[in-house]
Amino acid sequence: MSPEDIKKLVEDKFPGKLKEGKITGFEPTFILEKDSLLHVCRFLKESKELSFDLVSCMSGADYPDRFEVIYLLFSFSHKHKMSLKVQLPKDNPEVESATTVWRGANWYERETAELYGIKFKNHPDLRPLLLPEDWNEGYPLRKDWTGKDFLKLPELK
Amino acid sequence: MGVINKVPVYVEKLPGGAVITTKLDDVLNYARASSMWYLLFGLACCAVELMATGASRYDFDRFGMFFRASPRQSDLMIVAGTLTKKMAPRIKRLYEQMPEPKYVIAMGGCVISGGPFRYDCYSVEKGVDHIIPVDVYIPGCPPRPESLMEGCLKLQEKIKKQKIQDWA
Repeated sequence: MSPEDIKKLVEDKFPGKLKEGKITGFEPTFILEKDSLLHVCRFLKESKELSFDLVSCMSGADYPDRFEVIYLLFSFSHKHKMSLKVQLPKDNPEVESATTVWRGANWYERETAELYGIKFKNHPDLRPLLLPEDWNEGYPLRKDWTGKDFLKLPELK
Repeated sequence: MGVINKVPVYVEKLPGGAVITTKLDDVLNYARASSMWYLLFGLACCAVELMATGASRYDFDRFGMFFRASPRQSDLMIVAGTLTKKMAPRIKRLYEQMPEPKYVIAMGGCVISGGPFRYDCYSVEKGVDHIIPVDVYIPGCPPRPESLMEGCLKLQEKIKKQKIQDWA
């Protein structure tokens, strides 16, 4: 399906639930309300025309006013892709885990959780994944993070 | 009888042979400097350059250097590549498993100071000398085989100046 068709299909299915939809590059991107995330995900996976069966990548982002979780989806049968974004508040960022829809989201969510401190509700096992076992210095990919021997890049004069 | 050409000796001719008199320092240092067997491991891209230096074109073997796959049989640790904080305890353990006398070469910018990962990075150790003592630093990203060989020759010079009392 072309990006325009995917965009139209999803917008018709969820009127009013998508904050924003646009086509960036070759793929449609949607910004979702976090309450409707799982409904949209389940539809994207189970609909015959879309059948997004793979979370090919998932990441977090720290903006001055919000956190964002970004899901990149791919369909093996149709060879098309799209991305989803969920915006979360700075204090207590919390979102429903996508593992109930795609089991492959498990380790991506563990990584995002340990690096950004974003909580994924109903995740089966949200232990830290990549950081050292004895890590106790917080969430290193947050922009305001500093650690024990962390060096900030000096300003160029 | 290569040792006669390499270290200062006093040769006393006897019927049917000779007696040589020399310093124990010189003989030991000659032996140590001429067969630095390095630990076979690498952490990142510098390791590829290390492999190239060990291979036939640059040929580490002509300095008597050869890799050993066990820290218990190695004299030299060439720390080649980015040292992450998660890897640092393993490096320390490998170093502690090597028998004395042991030497360390820090190869590449990452190992010397953190290199390109020095600033704005949470995961990289800012210099292997926070973990283990270093004898020779080789800058470069990664250093060319010529630099690595130069570093090893510098280490040989350093070994040849050792005194046996220092090890006591």
